[in-house]
Amino acid sequence: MRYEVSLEDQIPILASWLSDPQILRWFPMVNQLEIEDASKIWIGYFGKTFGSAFTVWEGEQVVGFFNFYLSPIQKLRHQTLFSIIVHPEKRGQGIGRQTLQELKKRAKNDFGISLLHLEVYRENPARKLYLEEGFEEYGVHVNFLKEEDGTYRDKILMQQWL
Amino acid sequence: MFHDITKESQFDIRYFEEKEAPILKNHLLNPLIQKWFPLSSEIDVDLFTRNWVNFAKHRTAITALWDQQPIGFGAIFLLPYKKVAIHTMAYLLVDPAFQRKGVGTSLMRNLIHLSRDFRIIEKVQCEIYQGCALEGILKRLSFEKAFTQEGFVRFSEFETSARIIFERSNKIEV
Repeated sequence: MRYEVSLEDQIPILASWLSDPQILRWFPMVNQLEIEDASKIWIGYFGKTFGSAFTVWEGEQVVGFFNFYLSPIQKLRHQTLFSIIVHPEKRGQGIGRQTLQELKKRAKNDFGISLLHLEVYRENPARKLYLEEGFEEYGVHVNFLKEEDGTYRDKILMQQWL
Repeated sequence: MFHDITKESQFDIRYFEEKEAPILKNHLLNPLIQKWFPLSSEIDVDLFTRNWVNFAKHRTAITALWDQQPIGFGAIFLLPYKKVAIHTMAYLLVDPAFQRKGVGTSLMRNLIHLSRDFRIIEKVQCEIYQGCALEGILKRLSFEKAFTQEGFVRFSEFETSARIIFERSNKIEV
C-alpha cells in the first residue's frame, strides 16, 4: 500500500463511501448535503491547507482515506483529532490496522504531533482495533449524537501519546 | 471581594454588535484573559474573533455593558450537522476590572436562555482549562463535568493543561 496526499478530485470517492448507510452510521452526518460538506472539509480544506489528508492506494485502487484535523492555533498544534475510513469492500483485510500504524508515524514525523485522539460511537467495531493499537479511552460523551428516530448514542473518546 | 453589579441600572446585556470586534480582540490579547483560551498570538486572536463575529450574525453572541461600555462578551458556537446540533459550545470573557461582580454568571445565564431560542439545542457545553475561575460559575448554574482530556493545550514545551468539558441540559431551569 502507498499513501499520498489526497486530491480534490477524490472528494466524490470519499463522499460515495460515506453515503453507504452502513458507514454513515458511524459519522455525525445525516444527508447528502452534510456528506458533501464533510468530504470537502476532509480533503478540500485539510488536504489543501495543511497537506494533512491522505489517500491509501493498493495498486491503482483507492482503498482508504485518513486525515488529521490540524489546528492553526499554536497552543493546540501538538495534538490532533483524526478520521480514517476504509473502502467498504476492502474491510477485514488488515487495511485499517496497517493504515493506522502509518498514520501514527506520519502524525509524529511529518506534523510533530505528540497527542493523537479520535472519537468513535459506542457500537463501532473499530473501537477494538483502536484499543489493540494502543489507544486508551479517556472519556465518554454520553448522549452526544441524536439519531433521526430520537435515540441517543454515546461518543467514546480515545487518545494515544506518540 | 464579590460585589454583584448586575442588578444595578448601569448594567445591561444585549446582542453583540460587529463594531465591538476590536474591543473583543483587545480583551483576548490581554494575558489575564488569554491564559484561559487556547490563544497565544495575534493571528490566533484574529481567527477566534472572526469566528465570533460570524456566529454573531446568527444572533448567538451577547455583550455585557456598564454605563453603555462593553465589559464582557459571551457567545454560543453552533454545530453544523443535524445529529450533533443538539449541542452548543459556550464561550465568555469578562474585563478583569469587572470580574467577581456577577457579570460572568449573568452572561452564562443569558447564553443558556439564548440557546433555548434554537429549539434543536438540548445541551450547552463549556470547555475550560484547569484552574479557570469559570468552573465556579458553571457549577452554580448546574453544569456537570462531561469529561477531561489531559494534555490538550500546550503552554510551553514542558507545560500542558487538561481541557475539562462541562455541560448542562436545557431541561434544567436556569
